Amino acid sequence: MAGHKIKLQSNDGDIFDVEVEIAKLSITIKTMLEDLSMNEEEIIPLPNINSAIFKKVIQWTTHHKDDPPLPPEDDENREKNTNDISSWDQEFLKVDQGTLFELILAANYLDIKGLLDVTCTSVANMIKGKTSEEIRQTFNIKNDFTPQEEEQIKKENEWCENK
Amino acid sequence: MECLRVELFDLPDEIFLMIFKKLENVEILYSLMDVNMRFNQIVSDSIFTTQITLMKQRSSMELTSSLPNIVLDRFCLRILPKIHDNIKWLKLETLSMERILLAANNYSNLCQLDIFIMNKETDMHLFTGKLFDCYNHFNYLVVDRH
Repeated sequence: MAGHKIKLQSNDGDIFDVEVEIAKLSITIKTMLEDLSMNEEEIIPLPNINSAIFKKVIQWTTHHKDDPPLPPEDDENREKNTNDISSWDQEFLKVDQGTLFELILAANYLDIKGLLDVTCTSVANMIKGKTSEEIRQTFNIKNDFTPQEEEQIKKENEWCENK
Repeated sequence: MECLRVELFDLPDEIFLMIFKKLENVEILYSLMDVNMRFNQIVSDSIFTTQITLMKQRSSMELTSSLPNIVLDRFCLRILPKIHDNIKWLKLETLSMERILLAANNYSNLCQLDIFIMNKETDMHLFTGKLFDCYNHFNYLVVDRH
């Protein structure tokens, strides 16, 4: 039997019926429902998320609804492992950069630790091993150094590459 | 209505910190130093510059190795001279130890130096020369070997 559903509204007006248990993977929504005593009949607005991104969020939370909670993060001892993205998540994250960054912002706003973790890992993997110039090209970043600073960096990088 | 595409630099600094926590400090500095001014400001923070491991460390000690030359060159020439005063804990191996220690004028706040000896037969002379004369203020000098 399907569980209770709540209505969530994206910032472009679409209303989504989502099972409470799935919606509660978002700590933000869980808090609204439990601490703020919001009625399950009320439409909960999500002013920071558009419908396309929210569909992706629901897709992710539905797939991961039975996952055990992530252990608390220990900054000192945490292993920096960027290879542990499951094959389902890898497939899920085959999206353009704009969508990936919007997913990060949505996961942060909704406070969905697992989704935030895997999207941040995906960006970390895009950074790993690239030179500064490759980073600029990959992420379309404008070089805002002065011409003198840039010339100096360029000379030193050329020296490294030609050595 | 046309939607504006979200770019990397639309993310707030708190998100960058989450992303960078997934990487080693050496990976962050190598890839992001000198990309632009905002990244330079973020990656120069002591979070990323206090403890640097300039070798490839594996769970099996036998597999410990030097970083690729292109990475070491960039650190010695561009990155270490900028951040040397932030470094408190440096981990390195004997093959590149000399050039790393000589890359900056002084690691004035260095408290701990962990040195991995790659070849016990040939590397011991490194510890008897003048290289360490200016580093007599360590709290810890940890030497490890294959």
